[in-house]
Amino acid sequence: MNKKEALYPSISCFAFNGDNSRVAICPNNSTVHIYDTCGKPEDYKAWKKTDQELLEHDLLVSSIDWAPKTNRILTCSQDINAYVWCEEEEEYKDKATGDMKKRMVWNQKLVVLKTNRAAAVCKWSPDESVFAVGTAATELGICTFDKTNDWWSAKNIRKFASTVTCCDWHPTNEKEILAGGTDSRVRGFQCQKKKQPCGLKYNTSGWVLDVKFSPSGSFFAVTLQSSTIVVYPYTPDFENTHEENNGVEIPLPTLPCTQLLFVRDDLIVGIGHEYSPILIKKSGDSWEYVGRCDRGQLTKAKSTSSVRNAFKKFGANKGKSTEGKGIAATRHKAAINSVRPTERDSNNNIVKFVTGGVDGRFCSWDVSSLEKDVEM
Amino acid sequence: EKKKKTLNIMSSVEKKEAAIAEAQQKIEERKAKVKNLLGSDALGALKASLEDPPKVSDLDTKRKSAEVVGEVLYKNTDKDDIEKLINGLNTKEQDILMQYLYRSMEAAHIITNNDWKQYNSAILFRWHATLLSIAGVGSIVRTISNKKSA
Repeated sequence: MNKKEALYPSISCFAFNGDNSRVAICPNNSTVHIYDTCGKPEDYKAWKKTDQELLEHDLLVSSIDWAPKTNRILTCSQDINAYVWCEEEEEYKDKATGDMKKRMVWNQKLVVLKTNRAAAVCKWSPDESVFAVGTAATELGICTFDKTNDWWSAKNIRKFASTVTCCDWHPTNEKEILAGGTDSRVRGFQCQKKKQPCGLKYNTSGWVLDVKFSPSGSFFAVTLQSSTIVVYPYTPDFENTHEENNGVEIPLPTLPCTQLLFVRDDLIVGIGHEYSPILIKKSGDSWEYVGRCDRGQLTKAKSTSSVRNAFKKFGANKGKSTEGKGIAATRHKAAINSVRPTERDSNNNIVKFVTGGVDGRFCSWDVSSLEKDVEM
Repeated sequence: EKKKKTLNIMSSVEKKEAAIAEAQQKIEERKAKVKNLLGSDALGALKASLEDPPKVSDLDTKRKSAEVVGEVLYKNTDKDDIEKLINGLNTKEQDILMQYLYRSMEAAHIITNNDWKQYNSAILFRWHATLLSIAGVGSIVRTISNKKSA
């Protein structure tokens, strides 16, 4: 394994800014580093590290979201905190020359989450006036900016029975949000200022790991810990709270997916414990699993001879043994945990996307070439 | 009218017992169906045995249900046969078969009854290996995470 190929030993999440010129990465600890992509968001080896680092959190940063229009970074962490970072100009004294110089620094604004457990996910709404934070305290916090106190305060929805692991805002309808949790339910809410959000409820057969709306907003897909992806039609009827169970289940032959990406209305990319992204395509009225994007197989290490084995008892290499360790020939050498689109075409369909994994590598994938290559 | 009222008010224990009795009767029916098809139509027998898995949490019922499937599993032991049969199932039936395979591998009731003629782990593993290569790791993940498994 070539460890020099990876940017970090491991990453937990990352986010591009609006024009893919910069990227914020969390190297699986409590810091967030900001990189300049130098015009190549697909090639992580060309990225250059800037001095900007977001160091306010104490524990693992679980989620980063970079608002494209207003250029604000939202981070949430397992230390029960979330921060909104704005880039501001700062004057500082250059130590070498003694002049006053200016530089851009990220300053955080407090988010009052009113919760007592770790935050698992955070997402800006499409109009970036509001964001949602899902916590392990079974709460989904909808945070709005409080001008008098200059902080963001959360209004918590406590309808879940367990950790809220994922959420997604509707692309066009204002302030409609879907959130899923480890209580096997996906709940939909409409967040208006004064009314209590009333909701939809969808039952699933396992922990909900990710919820994503289609680009058109007329249906959404849910990925479960039980290696299935379910696609539901979205017919929001917020007047009457009722349970819906009319999803199309797609059982996967691979390990479960932890995140989804809607490339187009009829093509979903799933990433997760399988070391490669998988494709799911709409065929007629239902969906089907198409295949893995990366067909590299797990290879077995070369077997040592029996004489060598016998001498190992007496040798210095008693503790070390490379028998049985397979080296993955896939591009990612470990589970993939985050995915972001880098290029879209004129119809707003995703053309290229970048995945980041527990192995610290970023791999870029091209949708049109994947569609040609991937077979059952 | 009084009779109707008393019938509706069943305690939860009675309801469970009724459900178990119903499930066991269905298993008997399934057993008879499978026996009829065993000689002639192997795929039909397999599909009939995988039909309608019992949804009660009573272990005894589940083991009886697994025995019905076991009859078909032990009859077809040739690797090519196994592959043909599994390819003839759809994904839902393959998931149910994986659950039954794990249930059959438990063999706890066979040890207590000392009826070892009914248990051959080599054949069960042969079925498991072929099913894994066709259905993938996801079927095992679904067996583990399924709250109401066969």
